Formats: sequence, C-alpha cells, structure tokens
Amino acid sequence: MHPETNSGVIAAREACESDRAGLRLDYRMQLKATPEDVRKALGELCEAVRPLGLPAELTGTVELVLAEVLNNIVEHAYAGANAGHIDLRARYMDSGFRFEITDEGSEMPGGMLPVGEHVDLDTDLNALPEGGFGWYLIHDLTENLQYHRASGRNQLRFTIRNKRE
Amino acid sequence: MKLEIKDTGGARLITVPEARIDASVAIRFKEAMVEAAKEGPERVILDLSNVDFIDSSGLGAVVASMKLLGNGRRLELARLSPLVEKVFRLTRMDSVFTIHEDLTWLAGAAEGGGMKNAS
Repeated sequence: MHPETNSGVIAAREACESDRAGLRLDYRMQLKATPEDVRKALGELCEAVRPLGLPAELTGTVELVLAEVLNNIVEHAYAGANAGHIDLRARYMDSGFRFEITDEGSEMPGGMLPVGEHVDLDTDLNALPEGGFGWYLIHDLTENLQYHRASGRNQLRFTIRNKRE
Repeated sequence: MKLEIKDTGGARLITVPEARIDASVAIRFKEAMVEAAKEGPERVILDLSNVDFIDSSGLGAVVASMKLLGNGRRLELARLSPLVEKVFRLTRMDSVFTIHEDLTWLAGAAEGGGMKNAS
C-alpha cells in the first residue's frame, strides 16, 4: 500500500457537521504522522468541536488523549520509517465522544495494548522517569479502549464521556 | 523555544511564553531550560501561567530539565492552568515538584518580564 503523498497537513477532511438540537458531530481527517502535523490536527479538531459548546475540561481531556495516541503512532508505529498517514474519525453523540484512529505502521508490541501502569516515582531525583506516562493517561481518561490489528493496519477505538450530562 | 528569565527574590524565575509544551517542542524546551538555568540563583521557579496544554512528552521534558539543573536542585513550578495541573496530578508528578498556586509571595515577580500584573 502506498498512501498518496500529500504535502498538506490534513490530506482529507470530510463530513464535518453539527446538529445544534442533538449536539452531534461526525468529523474525519487524515494527517501525516509527524509531531508538527499532530499539533496542527489537534488545533483543527478543537475548532471542529467548538460549536458543540462543551465544557473546557472535556475538550481538554479529548485534546490530551488524542495527543498521546497520535504521538505514540508517530514515535512507535511509524518509528524510523517514512512518516505515514493517520486516519481519525471523531463522533460526538449521546453525551460522549467515540474515536477511531487507524494507521499503517507496525503492530503494537505483542499485538496488545500497552498496560499503562503508574511509573515509579519513589526514587532518586536522577532516576525519575521521563516517559511512560502516555499509556497511563490514555487508559485513565478513556472507556471501552480497544485495539485491533488487521490487514496491516492498527485501529484504536475508545470513548470519552461527557460526565457532566 | 525562547524563555523569559528574571532574577528576583533570590530565585531565577523562568517564564514559558508559549501556550503549549507538546511533543513537537519538547526537545527545544528542554534545551532552552538548560540554557536558562545554567547561571544565576540556585533556586529555579518555572512559571507556567501561559501554558494551557502539556502532553506526556512535555511532562517528560520538564522532568528532564529538573535533572539537568544538577547538584540535586529541585525545580519549582508555579501557576499551572487546569489542564496542566490535571496532567501533573494524574501522573502523580505533583508529588515530585513543589507547585505554587501564585507568585505573589515572590518579591518583584509581578513586575515586567511579560508577567501578568495583579493590579
């Protein structure tokens, strides 16, 4: 598979629609797997979500979780390879976000989701961890987290609920 | 990344002028911190009031820059926005850093240097 090389950050963007009455959104984007493009994509997604008028705490959580998921794909799934593409679908309905994120990078180690345990902080200053926080945050802030590998693609699905409703 | 530096009240106050410390700037942030803290007072306080977003790479860079202060010096943090506070709390990193809600106690902190002025 050879994804179309597209110089644009967002190679495709479809079906952005929000129904004021029912607070619904169905948003898709494709981005290149680089840290800079992840930052731009998060900005685009925040703009798309803004009309929903959701609490800042919820949109902040969404931005944080997506940053962790997308940066993991950049740093690990596509590590050392030419930056591939990431497809993202975000839906908001029934007081919750449902995300589907797909990439064509390498499989998760062991074909499974990383566990995401608390890192050990009971240590000397110089032994303090500088990483390993990402999967913990993803597990902690999402529900129904599922990983699926098929046809050379990774797909991650999860829900982030609006707890105020 | 350019950081603002001010020596006041016996401490070096470093202010991040940007709104995000994420994976795309984490390494540059760490390098700028090393540069900003290599001279001046032993006590270093990082003012994060302009930062409304940090991810785990940014958090790692803050931890790494504390280690690079050397001599076991601990970095103090100040004025965390709600999301930044949440990231430190969920990862329990709030137990590693001294975190100040405000800087009113620090002589001269509110004057100039891009700081918010209380009055």
